[in-house]
Amino acid sequence: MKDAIEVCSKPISPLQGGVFITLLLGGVFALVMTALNEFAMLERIKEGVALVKVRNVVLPLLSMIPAFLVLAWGIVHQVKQTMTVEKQKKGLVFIGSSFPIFLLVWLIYNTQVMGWLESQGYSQCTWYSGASMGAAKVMVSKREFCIKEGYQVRIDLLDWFEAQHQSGQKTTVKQARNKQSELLAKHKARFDLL
Amino acid sequence: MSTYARSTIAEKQRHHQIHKAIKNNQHTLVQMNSQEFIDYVLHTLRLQGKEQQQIVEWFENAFQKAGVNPQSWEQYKASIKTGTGFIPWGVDVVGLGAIALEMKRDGNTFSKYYVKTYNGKPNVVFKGYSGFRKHLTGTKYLASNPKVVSFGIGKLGVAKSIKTGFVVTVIISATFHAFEQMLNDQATWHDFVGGMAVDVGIAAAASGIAWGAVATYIGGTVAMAAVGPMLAVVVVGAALMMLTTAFVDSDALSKNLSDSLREAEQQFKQGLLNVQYEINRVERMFDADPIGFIHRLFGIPYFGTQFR
Repeated sequence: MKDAIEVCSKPISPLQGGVFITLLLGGVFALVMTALNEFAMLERIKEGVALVKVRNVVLPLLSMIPAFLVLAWGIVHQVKQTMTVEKQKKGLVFIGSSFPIFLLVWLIYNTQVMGWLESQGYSQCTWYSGASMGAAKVMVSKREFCIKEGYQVRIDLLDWFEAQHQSGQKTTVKQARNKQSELLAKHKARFDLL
Repeated sequence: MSTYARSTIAEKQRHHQIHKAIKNNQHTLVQMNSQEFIDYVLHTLRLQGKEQQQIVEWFENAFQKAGVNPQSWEQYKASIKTGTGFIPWGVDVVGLGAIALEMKRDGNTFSKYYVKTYNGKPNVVFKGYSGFRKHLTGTKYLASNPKVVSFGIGKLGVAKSIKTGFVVTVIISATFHAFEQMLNDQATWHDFVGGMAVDVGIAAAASGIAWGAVATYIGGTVAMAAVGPMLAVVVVGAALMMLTTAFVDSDALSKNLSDSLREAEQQFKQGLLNVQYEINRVERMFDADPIGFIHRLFGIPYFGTQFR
């Protein structure tokens, strides 16, 4: 039925409202921090680093920040008992409509970034990228960096690449292979005892 | 078209809408102002076979239990006694709450309710039982006032939508990891289980937070069944899930979990080996000295080689 009630709400306790506002604002903060990291990671491409981890969903997710803020704003109104059906409807429409926009931005951004990375000579290394939903895509500047046997030690190997970058050293394929062999030997010693 | 004809058509349409909503929905959420609610209560009490005097007593009993005496009660008491129809009763919040509570105690019309003031006027919002539907269409206000029936609660509740979304997440995650297993001969069952566990955990946490946040935004779980809030839960939940997977580095978490599983398997295998070793040792002991073995097992006295 279209005839909605004027306001349909139970009083919300300040504690409940505070918890969810904190969670939502915490999510926004985490998103901004992750986006800054993503920017920094993409900046490395200009330096020609051996390997980068890109999360193409992060920057498009910034388009969802207004939706989170509208939700938090609505909760503030609920706690203050100043929420009306009109505001609620507008807020829900805004939140609902922000998602298709996000999907569109994601689609365009993903295509553009992957195209740009390929034009810079980078290719995706599926052995290091992992299969979890939302896992970072690992892009390597040379195909030789992508070692199939490195799958089981990929997290340690990626940490080593990061450490190499932080220390300002240029990583060679030989170094990467040696490190991979070393890590794999440790892995086998730890898990292939029997 | 005359005004009367238009109002008659509109009235019929509203009747039709109400009947349709009742037919299509298992539960119905209703908002009534004080006049509408009093009319509804009177109608229900009459259907229960109460006389006018009994109805007056019922009201007085409700007020007495709640310890209130609304100012307008005396004014309209006589009206109820004589059974005159229209009662424009502007009862206050406390009085209306007392009546609603008594109706709930009667237990055959609605379960959940609350009283809230909008624009300075008290309103009752309640979720009705199936039995209350026959009273709903019998009250004059429902046929004339378009704002009475707020909205029907759809069959698909928000919990179901979360459950569906969760199951979809599990299926998608399982498909991703199954492909990984098929295409990557380096991946083992530990990676499959570890990856699935992280994905499902993140999906559950994100869905929970999204549901809680939207329910708080809406102002209560009872209103969550409408399309808008359900859509908001899905949207916010999906966004939170993607954010969480990016923020916490889900791949590293999956790897930690899969390594833990490998260690657990390793320890289990080591334990099995130890058991096997012990069994072999016992067999050897029995073969070498059966009496001595029984002695050690049951503590039977044994004096060296004299039983041999």
